[in-house]
Amino acid sequence: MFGVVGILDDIPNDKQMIENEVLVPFENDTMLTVNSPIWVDGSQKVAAAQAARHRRAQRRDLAQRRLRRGRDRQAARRPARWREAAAMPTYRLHYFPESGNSYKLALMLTLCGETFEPVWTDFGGGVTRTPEWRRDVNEMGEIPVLEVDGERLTQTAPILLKLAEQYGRFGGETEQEQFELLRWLFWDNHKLTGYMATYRYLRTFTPSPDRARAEAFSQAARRFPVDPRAAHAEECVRDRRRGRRWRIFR
Amino acid sequence: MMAYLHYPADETGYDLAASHPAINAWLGRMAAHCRAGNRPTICCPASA
Repeated sequence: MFGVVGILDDIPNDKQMIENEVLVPFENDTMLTVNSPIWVDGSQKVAAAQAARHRRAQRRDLAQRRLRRGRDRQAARRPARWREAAAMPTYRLHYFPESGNSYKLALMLTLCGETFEPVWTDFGGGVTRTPEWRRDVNEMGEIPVLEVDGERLTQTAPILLKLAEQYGRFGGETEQEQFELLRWLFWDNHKLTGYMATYRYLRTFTPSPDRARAEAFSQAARRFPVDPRAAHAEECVRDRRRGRRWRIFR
Repeated sequence: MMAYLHYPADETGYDLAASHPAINAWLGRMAAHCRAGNRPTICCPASA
């Protein structure tokens, strides 16, 4: 009697099956299928083709992606007055140049083909810590703040999620991808930005930094096993690329 | 996640090339995808 010698997930990586061409790729694809043992004697064997229904689904998916890209490119080329006429949302980003969180939103908007009005804010001068700022702009006393058609949105992570949903870009498509995206977003906000950005601020932008406090943040950030996590994240993206479902920059 | 990681070592205090080579390589690949207009100095100009 045999026990379990393998599972279905092992098959695509079975070196012996691939080298012996038991598994072969579909025509014009990287997806593998079982090589047919039947061929016409004297004729050259043709590559395996996918079922018509699957090909149609692939073509439809490709066409939708091309259409979306085309729309994005058109939107980016459109003059400002056309954009206004088409009732596109107008964005104002309250930022300061050294803010990585501001950069996250600026980059997201730019990659989505949007433009925005940058509203420079004197963070170093303490503007965001004034009662007026809390009353008029953000009761949390923080920056960045993104104004969308006059509505003020705060907290970078939910704004990124909202933009991803709105533009259909850079978001998870399946429940598993959504979970993975949230997992990294929370980790970034809590562990990476929470410690590393605070250390950078204390170290570089504070006139008389409290060195002991800064060093505590630095040590906390250094303890995280960042490399394996990043390698895992990149592997996830690579997997999705293999499946032709998701690319970082599309 | 690349936002706070891409700032220079003299600001962050982290020499990622030495301490976290995989992260550093990943950032390099991400930067290669970013056009010049996506860089923080363009997205978030230094003055109003």
